Amino acid sequence: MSTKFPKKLIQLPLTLLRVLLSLLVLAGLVAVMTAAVALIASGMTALPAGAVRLIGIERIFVSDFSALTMTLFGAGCLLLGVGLILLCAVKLCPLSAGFVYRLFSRRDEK
Amino acid sequence: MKLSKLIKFRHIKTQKLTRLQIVMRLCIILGVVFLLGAAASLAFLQHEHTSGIKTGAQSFPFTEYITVETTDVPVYISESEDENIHISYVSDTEISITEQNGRLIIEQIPDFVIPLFSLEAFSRKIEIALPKTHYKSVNLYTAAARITCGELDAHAVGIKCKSGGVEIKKLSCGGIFTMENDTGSSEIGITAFSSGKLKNSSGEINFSFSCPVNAVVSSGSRCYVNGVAASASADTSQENSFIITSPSGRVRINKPD
Repeated sequence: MSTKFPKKLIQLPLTLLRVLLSLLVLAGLVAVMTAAVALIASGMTALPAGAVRLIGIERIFVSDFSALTMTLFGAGCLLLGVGLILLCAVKLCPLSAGFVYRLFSRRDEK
Repeated sequence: MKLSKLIKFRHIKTQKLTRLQIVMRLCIILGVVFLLGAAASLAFLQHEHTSGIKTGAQSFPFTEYITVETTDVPVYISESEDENIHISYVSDTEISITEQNGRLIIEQIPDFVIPLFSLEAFSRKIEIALPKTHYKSVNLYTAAARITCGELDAHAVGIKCKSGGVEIKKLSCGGIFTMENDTGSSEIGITAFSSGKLKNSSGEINFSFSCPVNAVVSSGSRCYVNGVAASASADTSQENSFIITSPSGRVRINKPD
């Protein structure tokens, strides 16, 4: 009992560091997913607007971008956003989950 | 014999991609390619493009009748440095400025326009510089924009607001003051007043009078004079009578005791 308490006390900074690291990983994931959603939203606005302007209805949209720039920008944003969301789902989420699991697993203590 | 059979890359471990991974990689690669295309188009083809923002500046000799009508472009009325009326505007819709028989009409022509990725759209405004003199009639109409005015001296003043509002710091109205408000909020400081009528549906209007005024409040109206709820009356025979009808909006009047 008397030896366990100081051992746990010594492990406290390490545990805090682990918690901080996992929070950092979570924040990174949230940042990437937010950026992806923002890109998709931007693309979903710009792509139809650019397409409408390319067809010839220029008067509705007032923009500093030309119709071609707006269409390419919209398509690029939409595709990149979808790609990033898929990247999160396929790679980043499992990777970070594995990392956090290994961080808290007691393998090193054994 | 096929080349792949001759050369065997046994030392390289190839990863078999799933459909989802292929789609993901395609999306990212195509997305980057399209964005690079957009950047190239912005760099090389942008000079041919003109933004749809309308800008202009005009000057007119003094006229006694002025009408300003705006839909969603804010209007700023200030004092002119000379004897002329100066108007400048930045707008995404057409602005019509006409002068006929001594009447100046500044009107934003309503149109279905969506501003997208436009920096100039943030600075939309109509600036009117009026000479500091007495006007016979000034009419201010706004749908959703705010009209801001410093000092104004006119015999007749007519204000109509939908969801927009009017802010006048010092208004001198020697004749008739009429105001119709729907849901907007307005603040008007009045230095000279003769008679007037206010019809407020559900908006909020604050008046601060620095001259005598007799508030005539119709029944069911919410009107506070110097912070106290005003009781309904129908006596319009008194001088400086200001007839107020406000069924569900709120009118506050601050006046000298």
